[in-house]
Amino acid sequence: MGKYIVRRLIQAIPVLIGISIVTYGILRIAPGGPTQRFAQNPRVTQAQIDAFRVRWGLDDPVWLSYLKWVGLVGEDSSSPPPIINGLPGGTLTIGPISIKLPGGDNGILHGDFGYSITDGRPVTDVIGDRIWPTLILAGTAYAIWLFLALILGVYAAVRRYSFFDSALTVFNYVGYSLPTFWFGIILITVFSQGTPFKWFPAGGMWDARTVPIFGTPEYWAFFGANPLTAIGDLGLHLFLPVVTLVTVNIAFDSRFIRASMLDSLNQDFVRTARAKGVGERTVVFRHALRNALLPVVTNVGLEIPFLFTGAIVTETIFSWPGMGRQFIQATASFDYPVLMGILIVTSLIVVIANLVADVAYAIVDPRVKYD
Amino acid sequence: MHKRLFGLLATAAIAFAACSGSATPSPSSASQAPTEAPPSATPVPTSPPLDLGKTDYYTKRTAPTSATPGGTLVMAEWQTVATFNPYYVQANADVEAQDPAFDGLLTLGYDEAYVPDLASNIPTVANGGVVINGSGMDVTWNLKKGAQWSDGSPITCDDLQATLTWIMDKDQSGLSAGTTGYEDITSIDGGTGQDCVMHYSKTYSAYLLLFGAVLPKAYITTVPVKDAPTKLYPLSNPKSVTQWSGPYIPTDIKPGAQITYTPNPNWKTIGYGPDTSTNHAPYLSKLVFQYFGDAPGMIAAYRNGQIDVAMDLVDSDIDSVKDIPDDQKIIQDGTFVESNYYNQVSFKKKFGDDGPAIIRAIMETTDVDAVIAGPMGGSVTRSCNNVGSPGFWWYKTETCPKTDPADAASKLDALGWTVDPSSGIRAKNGVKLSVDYCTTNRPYRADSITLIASQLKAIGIDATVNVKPAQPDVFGGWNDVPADTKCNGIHGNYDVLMHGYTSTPDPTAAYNVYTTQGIPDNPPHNGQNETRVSIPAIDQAYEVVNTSLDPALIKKNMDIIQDVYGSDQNTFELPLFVHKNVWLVQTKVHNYLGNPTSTTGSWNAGDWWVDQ
Repeated sequence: MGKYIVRRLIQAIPVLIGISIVTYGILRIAPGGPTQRFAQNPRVTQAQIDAFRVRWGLDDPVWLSYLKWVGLVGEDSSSPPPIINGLPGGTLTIGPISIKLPGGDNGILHGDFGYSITDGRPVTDVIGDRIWPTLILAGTAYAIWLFLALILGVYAAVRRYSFFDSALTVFNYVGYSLPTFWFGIILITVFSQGTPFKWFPAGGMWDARTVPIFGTPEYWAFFGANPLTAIGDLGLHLFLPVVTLVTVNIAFDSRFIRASMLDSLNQDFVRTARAKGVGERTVVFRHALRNALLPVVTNVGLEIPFLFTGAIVTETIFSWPGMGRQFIQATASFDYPVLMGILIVTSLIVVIANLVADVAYAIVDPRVKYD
Repeated sequence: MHKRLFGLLATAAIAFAACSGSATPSPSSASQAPTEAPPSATPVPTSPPLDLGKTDYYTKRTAPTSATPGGTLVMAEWQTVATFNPYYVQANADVEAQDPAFDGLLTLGYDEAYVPDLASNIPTVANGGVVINGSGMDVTWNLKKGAQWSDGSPITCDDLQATLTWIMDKDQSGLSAGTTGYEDITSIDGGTGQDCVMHYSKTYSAYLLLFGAVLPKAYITTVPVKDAPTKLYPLSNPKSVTQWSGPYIPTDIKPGAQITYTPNPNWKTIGYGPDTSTNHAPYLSKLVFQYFGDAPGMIAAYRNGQIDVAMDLVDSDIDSVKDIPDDQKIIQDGTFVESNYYNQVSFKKKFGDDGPAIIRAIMETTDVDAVIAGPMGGSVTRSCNNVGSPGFWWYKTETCPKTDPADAASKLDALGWTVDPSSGIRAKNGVKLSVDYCTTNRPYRADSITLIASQLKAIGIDATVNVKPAQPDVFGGWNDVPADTKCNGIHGNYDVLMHGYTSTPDPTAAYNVYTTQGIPDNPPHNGQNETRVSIPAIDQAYEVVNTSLDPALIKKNMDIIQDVYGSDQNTFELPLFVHKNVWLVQTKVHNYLGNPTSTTGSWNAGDWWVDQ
């Protein structure tokens, strides 16, 4: 297993390199760019636009710009040095000894994801600011829909062709077909503006009047002093976007679990267990379900990236300050460093999630062995 | 508070980012002597001096003794703030977020009058604040006595000088307002005092709104200019900045979500207007700026009571808020205007000497009222003068182009453009009367020119509708797109182009749009005269406007320009309509008046107060 994991991690490197090259290339050759905001402003001279382009490395050839972004070429290089050096640069100090390292300090190889062209903040800050709200929203929604999907899928499989099974099927088809943006707007209209159902906020993550900005020291101080108020406020703001995500996404997982459960219930070992007089509850939950969960484990692993990438449409509709919304904003403003940061982080998470899913499958199913 | 510069830039960026892009013309540094007044002599006003600061705001707003201090006001936008640096502003949201925190020398009020902010005077030639000095000029700015930064240190001429030095630094990049105007300032006298004299190497008529924000010397000199885009006024750490001039200080920022402000107690040393006896501390205990994902989300939050002021809505949102009581809506004609632009060169090339007459016939056939009633749903205002927006020099021309397709048809007949019975399209000497209409892919624009095309078809003019992306196709700069990009305005690859433009009360703003010097074919290719119009009377009048410091003389020459615009000589632009600005304001909010200019509605945040 260890060898398998190491092999997969090594295989992931060229995958990530390939993804980064293709993504970077597409972003840079796409029409438009960060300077288009100056296009309609004649007060900005071409010299100033050129200085802006130099400042953000937009004038470099795409390949050189990519190498700088990776960190294989120094930030100030106009062409690769004779030897491309991606080693860490700077100075290593051990006690009284200082050793100047030969490499650079720019680029993702050195942990530098660059700065946002839009607002000048480090990309790591931009992503860091947005990751927790996304984890909260996506994580809450995912936990709930997975739990509900499990219950509903198992019950529908056990009560196959019953009224409940048929009703769940209809619900799933409807839920699966619902456009997220439409359903979210309907929920807002009914439950945050409708009379008498004006129960929930229309958007945002906290009450601007009474609760400090989420994630700030003031917020945590407020949380410490008023935990129930803070949790209640968060819960109120979470409710509608979570309902939206759960409704739209529960369909796939509940159908998947139902199918897997049906397959498991039709296995010989289940028939044997029943023949031996094992109680139905034990047959379903101890024998059938455990086997039915095997493919579900894989599915869960593949859905993990969602926890980090967020739900773009839902976050926009509900003004949730997460990664999905940040991605939209960065796309609209051609903020290449932020886009690359998000895409690379997402790619890394997908690769790791796939590995985790495969490893988990091997752990759960002893029949699966990796060399 | 915010000034034309930021407004121009903000609106241009808005137009690009969210709306569709607009041409935001601007003055160029004047280099020619005015034709009606020699630069070495102080121009003699030909009529009583115009009062640029005349406004009813000071009596309209609540007296400080009647306002209730305290409470929280939540204002909202549907676009995010990209920067807190007023000189890097990109969009309207940036301006609205910065307004409460920064003051400049002057601002533009809700009625487009000049309102002194940090300055106590509005310097003009008439009042002696501007003195012509050889080919240059000296402008005296009297900062309000005792004006302080939020940390209690005095705001002085040194800060003004430091701001100028910062702007003109060789490592500067990304200035959204460019350096036009600033580059003409040779020095600023005054030192640590509060009476400053700006020395210009040449007369520059747009001097009044040049310093939209004054930056503190003690802060801006701590960050190398080359690092300013990332390290000056960092969004992630507003508390690292200790000197603000506006009524509210940003204390917490969640980029993309919220900015929280607390009152600046030293703002009472600044206030609004020349009379500081009515100064007061900011009324609110807390001001919050929230962003929402989109306009409907923001409107929903307003209905829910989560926010007190919903900003940056436009005429297309009027239908969505029709259920909201009228006393909670401020709807004003804005400054974003739409026009049809006629390419003088392409019409000449296609139709020879008949080009101008054909354009006039097209203008006469275009039923603008039908466009307003149809694709625009009646939610915009007919405009007959898009040279600028209402300012001291602007007037509503009574010669709004008439609509008379029958008359247009008869004129074409008289020129020999006869209708081919088989195709229904006019032709002359084998040349079909066929024109290319271009616009961006905003649905209302596409619908508008489709309607216009049908109107033209009725009198035998074949109009092909071309809808292209705003960026890079239509608004791409000279070097940003291939020279043959269809519908590109700068390269002149169209016959008729429909798009919007942010007009301004600055009379010099359209210099680059309507003068021969603004034709972009010549280097450095940053002119905005997409129609390639060249009318000597307009050129001469704009040269006076650009160099004169006498509002009366400026008005006289702007009259000339507007007369030409409203006459048959105008074969370059058909004004269509002006968009509206819409704000939603809860009844508990007082002194929120909106602002039709791109100074934005946050211009007087210091005077806002709420019922409690």
